[in-house]
Amino acid sequence: MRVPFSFYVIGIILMSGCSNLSVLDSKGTAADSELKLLYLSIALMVIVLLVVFSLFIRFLIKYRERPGQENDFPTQIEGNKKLETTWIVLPFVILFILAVPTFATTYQLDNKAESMDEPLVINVTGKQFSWVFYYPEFEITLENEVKLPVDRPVIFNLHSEDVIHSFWIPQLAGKKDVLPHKENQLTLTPLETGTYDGKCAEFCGASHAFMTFETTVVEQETFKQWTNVADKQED
Amino acid sequence: MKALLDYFTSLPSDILLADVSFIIIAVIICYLLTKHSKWEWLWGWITSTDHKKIGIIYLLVSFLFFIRAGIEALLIRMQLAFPNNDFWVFQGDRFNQLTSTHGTVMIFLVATPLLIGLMNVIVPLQIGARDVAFPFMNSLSLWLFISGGILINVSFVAGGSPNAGWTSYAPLALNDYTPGPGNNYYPIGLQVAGLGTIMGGINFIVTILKMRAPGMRFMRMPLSTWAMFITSILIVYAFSALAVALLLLTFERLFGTVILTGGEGNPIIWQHLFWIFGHPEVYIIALPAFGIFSDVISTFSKRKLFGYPSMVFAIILIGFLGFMVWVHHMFTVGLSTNITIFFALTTMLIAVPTGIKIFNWLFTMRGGRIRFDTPMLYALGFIFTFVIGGVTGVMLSVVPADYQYHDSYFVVAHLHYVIIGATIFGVFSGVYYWWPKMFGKFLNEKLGKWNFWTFGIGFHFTFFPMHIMGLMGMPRRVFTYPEGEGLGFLNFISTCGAFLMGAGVLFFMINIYITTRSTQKNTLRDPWFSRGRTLEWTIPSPPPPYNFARLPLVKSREPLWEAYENGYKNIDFIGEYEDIHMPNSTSLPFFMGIGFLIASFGFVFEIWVIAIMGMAVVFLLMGIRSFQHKSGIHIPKEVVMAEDKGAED
Amino acid sequence: METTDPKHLYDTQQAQMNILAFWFLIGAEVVVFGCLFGIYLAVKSFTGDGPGPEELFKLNEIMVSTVILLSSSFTCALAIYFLNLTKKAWTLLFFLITIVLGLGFIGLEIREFTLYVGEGASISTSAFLGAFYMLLGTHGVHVLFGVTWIALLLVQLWLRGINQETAPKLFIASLYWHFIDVVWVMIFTVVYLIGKV
Ligand code: HEM
Ligand SMILES: [Cu+2]
Ligand SMILES: [Cu+2]
Repeated sequence: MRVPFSFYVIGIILMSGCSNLSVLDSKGTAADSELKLLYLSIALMVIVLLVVFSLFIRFLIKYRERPGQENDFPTQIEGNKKLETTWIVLPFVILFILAVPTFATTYQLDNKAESMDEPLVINVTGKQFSWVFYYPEFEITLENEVKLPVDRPVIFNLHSEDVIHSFWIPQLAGKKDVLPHKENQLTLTPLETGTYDGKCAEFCGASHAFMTFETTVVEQETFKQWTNVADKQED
Repeated sequence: MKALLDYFTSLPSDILLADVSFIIIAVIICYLLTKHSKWEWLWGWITSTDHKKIGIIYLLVSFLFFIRAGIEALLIRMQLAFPNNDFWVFQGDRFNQLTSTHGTVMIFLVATPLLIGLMNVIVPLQIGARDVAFPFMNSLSLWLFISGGILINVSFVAGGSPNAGWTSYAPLALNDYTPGPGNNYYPIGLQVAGLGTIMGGINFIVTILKMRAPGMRFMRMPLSTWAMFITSILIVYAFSALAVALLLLTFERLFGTVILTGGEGNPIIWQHLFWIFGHPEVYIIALPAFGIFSDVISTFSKRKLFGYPSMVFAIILIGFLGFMVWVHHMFTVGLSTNITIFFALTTMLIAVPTGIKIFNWLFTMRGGRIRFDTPMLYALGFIFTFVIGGVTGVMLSVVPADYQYHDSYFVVAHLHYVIIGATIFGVFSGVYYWWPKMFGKFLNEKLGKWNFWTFGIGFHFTFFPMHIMGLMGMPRRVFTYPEGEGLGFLNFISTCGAFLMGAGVLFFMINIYITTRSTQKNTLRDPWFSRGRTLEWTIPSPPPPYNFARLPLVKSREPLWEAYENGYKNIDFIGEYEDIHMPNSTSLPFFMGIGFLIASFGFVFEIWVIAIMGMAVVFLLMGIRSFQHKSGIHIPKEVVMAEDKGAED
Repeated sequence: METTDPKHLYDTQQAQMNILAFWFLIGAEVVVFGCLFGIYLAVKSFTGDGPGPEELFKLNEIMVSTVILLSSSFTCALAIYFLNLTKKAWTLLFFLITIVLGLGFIGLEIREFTLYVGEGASISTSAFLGAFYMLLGTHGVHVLFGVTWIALLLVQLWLRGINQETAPKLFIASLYWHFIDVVWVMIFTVVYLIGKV
């Protein structure tokens, strides 16, 4: 689905106010498709807001009680079938526009792993209050930082050693909970090199605020070199 | 003595301050009561079974809790005002205690009981009844709520507060990660309060089903009553699920089961149970507010409620769908895609009846004569605020986008937009609206407007920036955030807004103080502007203990308005005066509350003797109650007649 | 004020309201037990190192408990039958039998639990056992409460006879008793029978 131009406009307006709207500044496939829906829903909801607020303000001004009307008995009506039908039907239309891409994207995000070719697998362990990243392919372990090659699909296998955490790199992908009793998967493909903040999004205890990590996305070449060097160091 | 002194000086400064202020306030209260010889008067209120008095106590106590949790909100905002801030002692665990009790108290001990308080005052008056179906149980509900409330509130100075969030997710909330009594307060305190709430729910269901005035068919009930009826049904079923969740947590913490542990069990079970309760709870605290707004908007626009049948239908539909959306709190848990999709769909669907209500309110105003008294201002503020909150709600139901919003400040913004927008605005609206009915006096309108504008503007300053903070990647329940992410500015604005809201609440308190001191009475039946619509405006303000000297005869949905339109001063009442039978006042519920309190402390600290003793007190009193003859008092018809004639002029 | 006319035992407004309220209370209880069953089914297979349902349960003994509780429901119904005929002595007698049967059931349940714990199947052995004890324990406490309640009401019946105050109370207690029985039938089926196969 192509994102209409107007959504970018909304995004830019929102971003101009603040420097660092990481969710709107997506640099990964998962975050991208989430962002498209975010814009779609904002656009639809702005329409709703406009309709409601213009009626609201209009009625308030037009029907306010003016001096001399204190003892009036305005005419009383029960309702209006046509109007009522309108506002039962219209929401369905809006919701339909929203629901279809929502469902499609949800399926797509959840079933990514099978269709990926040559994914980079990383086993992530969350624990109070740090992250451990293990690359089975290279037998490398990193703590509180993770390195990814650009444009290569990644599968994060998430597991917790203690309580529930949630794995979140706002610019690359939405959250996935990190559970103690079951492994979860998060898939994404980073699209640009750079450094991105990662955090724990599920409240997990005293130092939850400090349970952050740094994600570095580098060129594939650089990544390869790094794995070689890191491999040697391990020995 | 020295040991005691040592103990006190060893306390952290915030707890010391709380202890000292507890003691000072208690001493002042005792002094004042003694000086004005008001102990007996106080006892009269404590033992009363009059629904109006019980309602007022509910309102008062939950307002005190509101202040406490509000102060916590301010402390939270102080700590978050700047990046890397170190405010007082509120970092790490102490901050987590703040947010956990702020959330818990606000939901369970403020929003819910405030509305139950209003229900108590209003429902019998609106349906033309002399009391609720079970006055004794009503009083018991009250005292259970207060016991539970005391437990959650003293936890702070007695062993530590719950600190696993108001949702108390396992395994964090289990002994392995949060040992000690602190998190025992959560399941035990809420269990006691919740039990009271379930009783209240049953009480109101039966009251509304069985005690309506002659002629008041279902489709003639005021919308407040309708909303409170559906709410009561939701309470009975939702709080039962909560009871099991809390029982489970109690077993995990006190009796060593391993159902919710990460190793041997499945912690997601807690989340399901909690949200099976939690989402209906959202509607439990929203629907009565919707009802109040329906009455207020219609009264202050002098228009019949637009589309009454569809309003009723919408409430029922919301209540029904409310039980089928809980998984939208768990989209990131990694449940199967089909389940996720199903709950996304139901969540979107619930927007439809909500939309119906919004448009019906708007079109109620159309063609009316809109007045801007404080109750109406709150109702209008509600429409503005709640529409924004509703819209972000629909955005949250878009699963992939929710992967981004979830557990971020976006959600904090959303939840306050709906809860403060509906419940707190609704309670303010209702309190201003019915205050003259309860006390025979108006709250000051000028202060009321100050109250509304500061609270309302402060509200949007506090919470609107939180949407953006969420999009900037700020997770919720963090006690600090780093310098470089550009979050400082918005957080600072938010903190300023919070203090403006605080000022709004101060205006409200000043208003109550001034009004209580003032001698200016307005005991008119229908004091606002003589355009009341429903039955509560047909009886004196404040109403006599038996409310209706003679029962009203209801011939239409808005009997009073119709009487006015046809040139009458009041509606028709049925036939002759008669002896009125009213329930006795009783101290048993109060002592049962104390029994529960004692038992709860026993459970919290795992001292079983005390727990057993407390429960023994409770069961003993229940036994005594069972043997009592329910005699009650009779008010002879001559007295009723004389009082009624006196009130006429 | 109080009639003992069998036709009007439940006629007062208060009695009607009490009975209605009680139905809603049962509604709440249905949710409670529904959730407990849900928990149990969710962790049924999480037996850890402890015994599973097949090894643990001894159907024969459970059959005895079941028969006892079911017959108590029968005697309870008989008691209500005589209550409606305002036959005080018979009512007392059948309620007494109900109580005795209830106590018997509790005794057997305690025995069962002690046996299990003796075999090393305690509440913290596994998630399955935790849920099992929670479900059965909650039911057991309900039975105990029912026994005490009916006993108290019997004293009132003894002292005050059958009237518009005592009759609705006993009727409600009987509803409660039948409800507990139905829950037991569910437990017997879902926990014991299905657990065995
Ligand atoms: C007086 C104005 C209020 C302010 C300034 C305020 C502020 C806050 C803030 C900043 C948080 C987020 C804490 C965090 O995630 O770190 C929060 C959480 C919360 N608030 Fe409020 N709040 C206010 C009133 C209310 C009211 C009236 C209610 C409900 C009736 C409420 C219910 C909640 C709940 C349920 C949470 C979630 C707690 C948790 O995450 O465990 N708040 N509040
Ligand atoms: Cu965390
Ligand atoms: Cu929800």
